[in-house]
Amino acid sequence: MKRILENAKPNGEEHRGRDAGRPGERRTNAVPTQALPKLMLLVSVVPRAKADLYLTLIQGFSVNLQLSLAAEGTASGETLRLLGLSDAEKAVIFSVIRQDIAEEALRYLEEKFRTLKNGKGIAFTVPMSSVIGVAVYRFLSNSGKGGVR
Amino acid sequence: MKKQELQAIFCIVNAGFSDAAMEAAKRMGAQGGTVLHARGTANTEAEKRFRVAVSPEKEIVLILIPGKLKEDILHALYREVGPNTPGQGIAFSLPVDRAVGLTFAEESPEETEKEE
Repeated sequence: MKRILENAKPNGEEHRGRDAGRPGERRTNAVPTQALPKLMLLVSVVPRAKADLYLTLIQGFSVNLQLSLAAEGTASGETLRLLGLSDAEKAVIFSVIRQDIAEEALRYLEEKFRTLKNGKGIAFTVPMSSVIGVAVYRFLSNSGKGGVR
Repeated sequence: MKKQELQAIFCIVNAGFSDAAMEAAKRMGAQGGTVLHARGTANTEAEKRFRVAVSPEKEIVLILIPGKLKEDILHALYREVGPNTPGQGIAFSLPVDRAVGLTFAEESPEETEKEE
């Protein structure tokens, strides 16, 4: 049976699985656990022409799984002009990223949105609550065997 | 980096109703959104049994909004493109942890308190 890995508590409190004893209770057969890094879903909306560039940039933050979808912006012509955007063709990139790296990635993206010509976009992170499968978690978090961090 | 509470609204509607969804959201204060094309997967057996055809062509409207607009926008989407309308839409919101690249004016906590 696959194990459901729930994300670690925000304050770094040790995760207590379903088989973990109550607080204060002596735990037998307990597997030593340590706080697992939380996973976040990083959503980036970028110009379609720059999608491959942003995919490569985000991959540099220990991101192993990304999905890129073609999309269209809905901002009116006037708004587009005010924002300095030329077209409504967008790409939405969904990336699974570790929480401890997410902030650094967002800051990096913010800088790229500001400095890259025709590279304006938005990015935000949404917390993920669970993931099933140890191998899947290791893959998504780029930890354990083969992980760079 | 945005510190104010933000919500990401996902509204899944039949193809062709993303404009109606976006208009409803904009009336309630949303600034813009992104439309993704998608394919719905209905229960084919139920479709045959009830002789109802569910259009598999869908559009997902992704809208990033300040948290205080969430209720108004979700209600507007329900009214305009909800399950009881031709848009047959469903909408839900997810909490945004952090966001970058947004253009709508940042509000300081003092300003937010004054408005309330």
